[in-house]
Amino acid sequence: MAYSDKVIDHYENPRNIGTLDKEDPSVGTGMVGAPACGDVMRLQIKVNDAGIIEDAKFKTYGCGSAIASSSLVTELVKGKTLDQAADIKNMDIAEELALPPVKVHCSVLAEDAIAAAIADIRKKQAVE
Amino acid sequence: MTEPVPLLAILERNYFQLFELPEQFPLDQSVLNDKYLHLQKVAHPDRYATALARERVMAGQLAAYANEAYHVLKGDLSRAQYLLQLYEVASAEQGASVTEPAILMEQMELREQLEAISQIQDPFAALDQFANDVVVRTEALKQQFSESFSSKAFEDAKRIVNQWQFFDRLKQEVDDLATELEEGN
Repeated sequence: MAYSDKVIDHYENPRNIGTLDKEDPSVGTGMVGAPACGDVMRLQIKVNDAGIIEDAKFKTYGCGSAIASSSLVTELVKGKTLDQAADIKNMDIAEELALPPVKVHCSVLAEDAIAAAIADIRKKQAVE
Repeated sequence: MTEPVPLLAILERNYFQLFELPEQFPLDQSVLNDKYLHLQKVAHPDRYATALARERVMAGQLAAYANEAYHVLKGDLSRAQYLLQLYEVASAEQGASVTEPAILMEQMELREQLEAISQIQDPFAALDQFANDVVVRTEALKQQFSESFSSKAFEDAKRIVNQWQFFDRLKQEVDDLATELEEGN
């Protein structure tokens, strides 16, 4: 299958690959997986005192589109508030990467991952 | 002279009915093979050389249907998924995501271990061990599925299949890495 240039770019030069300390109270971790294709994705966000996402990291085991989707998402969320980040929809990712219809589910996974990371950090903030 | 085979009726059967097998997870592969070969004979184009065009088309459809059914039932995971589908417990479709932390955490760790194995100097022993662990875990899931399904605990069965799908994918990655390492030598 032919990947778009943007997918290949993110796949070959993934942005923000790595791990943040998930015990850190300012870090939200979202983990999602797609049983149908066996992909697993972990997305982490670090939120500063002003409520802005100042860092984001991901680790994805899956196809090129899943890796590119999560890589792009880490770039998109940086500098945003949690509310703004929650507004990122899978179609924004799919369009930006020019994902073919059969790969749109990879961008859904990335959207689910942000949602899960945001839910995690909000839960931590509520406890504080 | 035997009765002509009612092809249309056969095409309406589900995969288990097609091969006259019980709708259950445990399967006698040799029975499946025999029934499959028998159906391929029944649907063989030579038998329909003088038949009506409509019958010839149906025989072709039956051959294709038997082929598809055979491959689905032959594979353990695909048979499990098909059983859930028959009982209308849809297993995870394309795009559906799971967030069950225990399953995901374990999968993430296993992928990380496999990645680490690919980077060590002499990875073969470690890869063998890893591959063996994956097989053992898959066998355990198979067993659990069989028990859940036969006791009609469909939600459990579905969760087990979800996890099994991840292990199936992991197995493919193990095989890919093994191939890659062999070719590199």
